[in-house]
Amino acid sequence: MNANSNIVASALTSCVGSFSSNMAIDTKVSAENKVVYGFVIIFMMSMGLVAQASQGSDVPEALSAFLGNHCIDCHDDAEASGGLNIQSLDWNLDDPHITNIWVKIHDRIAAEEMPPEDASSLGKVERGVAIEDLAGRIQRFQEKNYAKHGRSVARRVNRFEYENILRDLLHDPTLKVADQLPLDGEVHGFAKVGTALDVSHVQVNAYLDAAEFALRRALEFPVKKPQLQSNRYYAREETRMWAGKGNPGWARFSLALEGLEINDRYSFEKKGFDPAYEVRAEVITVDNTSAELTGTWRESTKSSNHVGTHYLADNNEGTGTYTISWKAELPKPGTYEVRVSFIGGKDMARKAPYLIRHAEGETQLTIDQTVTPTIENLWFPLGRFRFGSIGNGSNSEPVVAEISLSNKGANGWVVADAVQFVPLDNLEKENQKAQLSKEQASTAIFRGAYTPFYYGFEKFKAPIRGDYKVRLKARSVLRKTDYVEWEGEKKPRHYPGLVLDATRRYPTPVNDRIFSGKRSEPVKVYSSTLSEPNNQSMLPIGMFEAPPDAPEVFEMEAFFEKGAMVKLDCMRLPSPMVPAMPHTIQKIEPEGYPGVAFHWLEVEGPFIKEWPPASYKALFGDVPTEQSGRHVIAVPTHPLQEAGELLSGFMTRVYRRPVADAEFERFYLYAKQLLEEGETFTEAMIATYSAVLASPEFLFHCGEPGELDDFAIAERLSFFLGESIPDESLRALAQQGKLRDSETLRREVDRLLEKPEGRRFVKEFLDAWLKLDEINDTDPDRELYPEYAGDWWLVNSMIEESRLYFADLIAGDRPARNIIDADYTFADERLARHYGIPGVVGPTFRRVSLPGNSPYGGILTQASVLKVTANGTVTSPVLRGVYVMERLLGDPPSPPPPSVPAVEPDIRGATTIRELLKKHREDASCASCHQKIDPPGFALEGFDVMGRWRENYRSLGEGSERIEGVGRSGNEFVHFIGNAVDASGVTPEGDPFEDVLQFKELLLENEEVIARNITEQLLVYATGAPVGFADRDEVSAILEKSRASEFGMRTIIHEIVQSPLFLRK
Amino acid sequence: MKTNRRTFLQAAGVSVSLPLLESLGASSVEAAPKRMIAINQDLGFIPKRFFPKTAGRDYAMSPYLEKITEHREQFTVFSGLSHPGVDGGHRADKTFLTAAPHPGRASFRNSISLDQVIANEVGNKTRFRSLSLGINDVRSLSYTQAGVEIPTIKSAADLYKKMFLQGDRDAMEAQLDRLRRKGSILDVVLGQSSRLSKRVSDSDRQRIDQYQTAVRSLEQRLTDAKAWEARPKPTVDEAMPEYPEDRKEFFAMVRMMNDMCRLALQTDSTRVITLFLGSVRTPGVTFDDGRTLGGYHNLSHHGKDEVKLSRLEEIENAQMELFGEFLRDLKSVNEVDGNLLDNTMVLYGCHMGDANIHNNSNLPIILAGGGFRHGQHLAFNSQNNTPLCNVYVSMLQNMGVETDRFASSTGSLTGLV
Repeated sequence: MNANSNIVASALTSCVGSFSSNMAIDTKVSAENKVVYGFVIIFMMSMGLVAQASQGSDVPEALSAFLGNHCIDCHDDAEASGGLNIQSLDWNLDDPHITNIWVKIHDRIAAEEMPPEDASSLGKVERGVAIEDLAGRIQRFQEKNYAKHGRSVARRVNRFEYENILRDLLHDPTLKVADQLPLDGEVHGFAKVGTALDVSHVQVNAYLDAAEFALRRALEFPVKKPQLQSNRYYAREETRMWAGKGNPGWARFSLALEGLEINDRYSFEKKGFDPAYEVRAEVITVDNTSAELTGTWRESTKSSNHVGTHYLADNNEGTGTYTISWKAELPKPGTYEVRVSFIGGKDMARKAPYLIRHAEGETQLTIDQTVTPTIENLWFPLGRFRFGSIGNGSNSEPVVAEISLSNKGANGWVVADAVQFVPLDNLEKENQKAQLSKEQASTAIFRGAYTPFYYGFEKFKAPIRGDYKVRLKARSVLRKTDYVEWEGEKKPRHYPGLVLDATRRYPTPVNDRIFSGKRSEPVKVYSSTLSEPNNQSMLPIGMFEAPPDAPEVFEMEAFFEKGAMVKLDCMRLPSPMVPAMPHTIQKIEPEGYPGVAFHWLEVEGPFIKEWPPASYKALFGDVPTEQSGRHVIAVPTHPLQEAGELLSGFMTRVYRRPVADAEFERFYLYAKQLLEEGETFTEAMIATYSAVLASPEFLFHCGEPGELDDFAIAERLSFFLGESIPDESLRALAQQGKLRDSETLRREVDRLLEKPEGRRFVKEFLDAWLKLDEINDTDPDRELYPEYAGDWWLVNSMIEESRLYFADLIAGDRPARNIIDADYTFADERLARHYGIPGVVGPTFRRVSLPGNSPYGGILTQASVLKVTANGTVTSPVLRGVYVMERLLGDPPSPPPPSVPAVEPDIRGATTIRELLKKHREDASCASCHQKIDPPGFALEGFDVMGRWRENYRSLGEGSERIEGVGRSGNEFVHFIGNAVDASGVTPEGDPFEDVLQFKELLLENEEVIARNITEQLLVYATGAPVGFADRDEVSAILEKSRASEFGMRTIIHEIVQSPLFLRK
Repeated sequence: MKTNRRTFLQAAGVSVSLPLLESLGASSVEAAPKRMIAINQDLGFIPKRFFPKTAGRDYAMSPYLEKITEHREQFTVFSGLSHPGVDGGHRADKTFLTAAPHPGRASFRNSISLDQVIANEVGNKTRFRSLSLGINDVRSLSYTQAGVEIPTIKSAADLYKKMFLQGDRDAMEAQLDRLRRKGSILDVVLGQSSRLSKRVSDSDRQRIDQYQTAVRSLEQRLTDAKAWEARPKPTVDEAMPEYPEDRKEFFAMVRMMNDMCRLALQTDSTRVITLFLGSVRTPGVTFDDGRTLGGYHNLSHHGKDEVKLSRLEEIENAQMELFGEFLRDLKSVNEVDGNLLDNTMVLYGCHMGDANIHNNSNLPIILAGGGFRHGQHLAFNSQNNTPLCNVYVSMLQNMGVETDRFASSTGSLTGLV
């Protein structure tokens, strides 16, 4: 529409304004046409042409005549142009799908898109009459239906709402039950609409199981309040730091560090920390070579596990003819720990008799030499003994100590090697040393996490569900590499199967070349509940950046499930997957392997606010507890009375309206019956609560047609912005009857959006609206897109960007046009790199400005959207076009007619998708829809399958340049730089664009389209009913009220909640 | 795992204690029951390697069918079949056995699946009315009368436990108590909703009615379950499978699941099974020789690239070989009147004709066993497909369900009987 007609139109609109309020006028039609309708409808009324909407299947006569004259030529049984067959289309408005087709027919005619100019001589007046007639019929039919049933139909809670409700009710924020419930039906992608939320025995059974599971969790705690503890877990004492079943050879990527000095003794192959290390100088050791012997002991070196040059063995006869006596001169009298060394093994003496002569006399000990000695696999402590008399002369006088051993009755080979005397004060020093050395020691990780490989501390398991503080000490390091030439049969130790190429040198990581890191390394910390790492049981706790210069301690607050462990993802490090070889991984980081050295994990907790926990109190109030196995039971004084009180409180919270006496009675009688049958109080209450949680009052939103009462408003509001039942404040306002007050509603909307639960709304709405829950359905092809393989950080950051951006649109009441474009976005380091934004370092998200020529900014070109609209290999302008039309512009195209074959993508490099589509569009039946679908799809061709800007396609077959290398997951790849991307197109209105920047400008010429779409999407979500033809006026009213804020997103949400569409059933 | 399976097969039919076969031994006039298993491999097959070029009884095998050529006389391969009005690419998986039109559409509602129609007829005769199984995907092929998805059992080990692990007396009593408790809870729930439905609008009442029906239907199932709980479970020599955790062990999973399916049918634990082979969500596959190939779903979008196509072929060959193995295993189980395959209809196919372009016509479909006249390629019009439901009607009739229609059927298939 040009500017002139705008002015004329608005002038005329005011003249006929009185009509538009009660007339069925499609707001998408230009104001100019409204004027015509105004006259026409008067004309029609006077002629008695306005008929009642019919429920029969015959198309009303006048309409039928019109369609016959102008539409049936193409849209008949034979041709069904564009997949539309009007000839056989029933006039059955009860069927929502058929109604949608009629609405579409209306919209196309009204927008003068149909009939096509060249095929019809339809005059303005006749067009007006026809669409007015059609609009009136649909409108009246729907309004009649609304009056009878309401816009929305009773709906049950969906599985995510069900989970949230139980979480809120039971103060159990990490409860997981949604996965146990069947998938929900959706309308427009939203699991919020009653007609699709069917229910069968499967759900009912799942509800009973889920409720019982959740209720019993509330009893899983000890009667006695657990003490606050703080424990430190040293990385070096972990036997391994990865999880999941995998090749133990992965340990090679980890190594131990002492400070920055490498010591191979501490590698994982040694399994753990060696506390005796470095303390030997102060102990007194006597080897068998200095001992007195009887019998012909044989010298042996068969086992390398001995002290000195050799050890001694007897003849395995047990006769007592072999003896040995070690004498030591101790520097001073005192208590010493006596240790003996032997080698261990199944043929060794089961009863080796040792004799210790000490200050208090003699002690005989029989030692089982088959065991492996406990200290360094070498020393076995016999005990602590005092040597020399304190009362006898000076304390510094040397003392002689004697230990002897014979083979009498030994039952196996007796081994005699060395004895050791460790002074007790020295032992204490030794422990201190051990601490000091543990403090300095660390274990470094050189790869990012990848299912099923997570690194982490496994010695800590949360003793009980609750709040904890987690501290980690870490720094970043760099491990250098040497190039090793492999010759002949010599092969890398860890890769016996590797076929060597004599022409190549293989870089090999060298463990004694460890340096300070060059940069800080981001680490994401998770709590992992189940031993299975790849089953979604990972919950992020926090992130930190390990600094390069010296280790630092980072503290995070965490909520742990019972048994939860701490897992780590060094986000920026490559995640080489089996069977990646070190020489390929090396190419990812040619400067050396960056890694993160972890010193220790410290966990403090549980921090308990109340005991028994809030979960218990929510169900059993102040009823005393008693231990019963691993959980508690409730032991009331007056079971019946307390059952009644607890049940009443529970039902009031769970039902979203006052509980009728009869409703209460029914459940109360059940509890009573169970108690009278001898059931325990706890079991009776669990059964009764389960019944309440399976009752339709709890599960369904329903009510009378017409205005919602306060309770229904509270319910709708709370499920809209909190995905759960009303909180206390909302319940109170409903009880006081204040929720019909506009200002109160406004305050409540603001309050709910700011609550932490507001995040739930953002997540669930975006998952459904933008299909973000499908983001992991495909993975980028490793040959074509090696830089993305296994890059969780990137995918998670994409989702986070969309959530932060949308939350900010609402928080800042930013205009709806920001859905299409903006000069800012939210990014962390990974996403900024993806978008080519310089200067963003670290994993923390921040608002970043985008330069004017950036294709990014706006949901339309967010990487998350561009990924869910592509598969991992190719982008399709058709899929992206349909998505944009349906999700962002509110004009969903019809599905393709079944007879037309789909376009088959080709990545061999010879043809582009545009060329393939061109052929497709030559088919007349495709052209009319593709005229609208393709332009947005073409404009987005500038982005690859992960949403990164590209000038050229990549191909596997032909191309101007061959690219090879190693991908992030260690895979070697080859691909080619293919044809140049052409992102130009022409809009259906005939406006040409060169690229996505110009396309965005064209879209923003009509901001209202963007605002109307998001309003309608939110309306479906909020009210649980599709936006019907008859709702268009109210949608327009919402838009009018939001116009002053430039269609601010928070304003739109406020106006939706204030709208009759929201406040009526 | 392969060894386990072979070991078992040698023992099969000898030492397996089968309640059904025992009872047959007693009466010995009763025929073995008819069974049905429907398998959907959700990425389907490269069409030109799946479909034979010639039709009829003398048709020439296609490369993929070569893999199951030993069963030629026990299966029929179809071309030119699809569900009218079913579109939506991947999303059509949920209508593979229901044929409900337009699964991608906003107003889509699913309907009852083929297996559940059969289960409604014969389900009360076995411990499990039906089994819905899935590998590497949460989605299911089975839908109730109301079109609600029936969740799948996702591990062969879990299935084994449910079918064969007999708890002790205490465990059995505890389970019975649990079932009784659930029943009593449902009594309370039902009483409540009958009151509620009096004060809601008409359209709302329909939803509440649906809920009440669901509750009643669950009550009936609990009653059946109680009766079965009191009876001993069959015992088998087969050890519980060590079901892999790594999703790439797809083929091992399929093999174990196939084994469990055969055991379920053989022991008459159920007569109706659906098995969803979630190729789409299988990140990659590990072959028997330990080699792995990544990105199964990505390979299906091969974009005509030769390397991708050849990798995809390799995977699809393995899929067909596994299917052949399954048929062979069914054949190896003798029953009073033939073998287990003779008495079991095995439907195998996909809801997409060509995953590369996500189309839902010209579906790859094989029907094996069940006593049909097989050994042929029934070719229908590739431009104007015949409803797949016509095959389903023939299957229903073969099961003894008295009907001449199912969903979008226009009749039964004449060439089959």
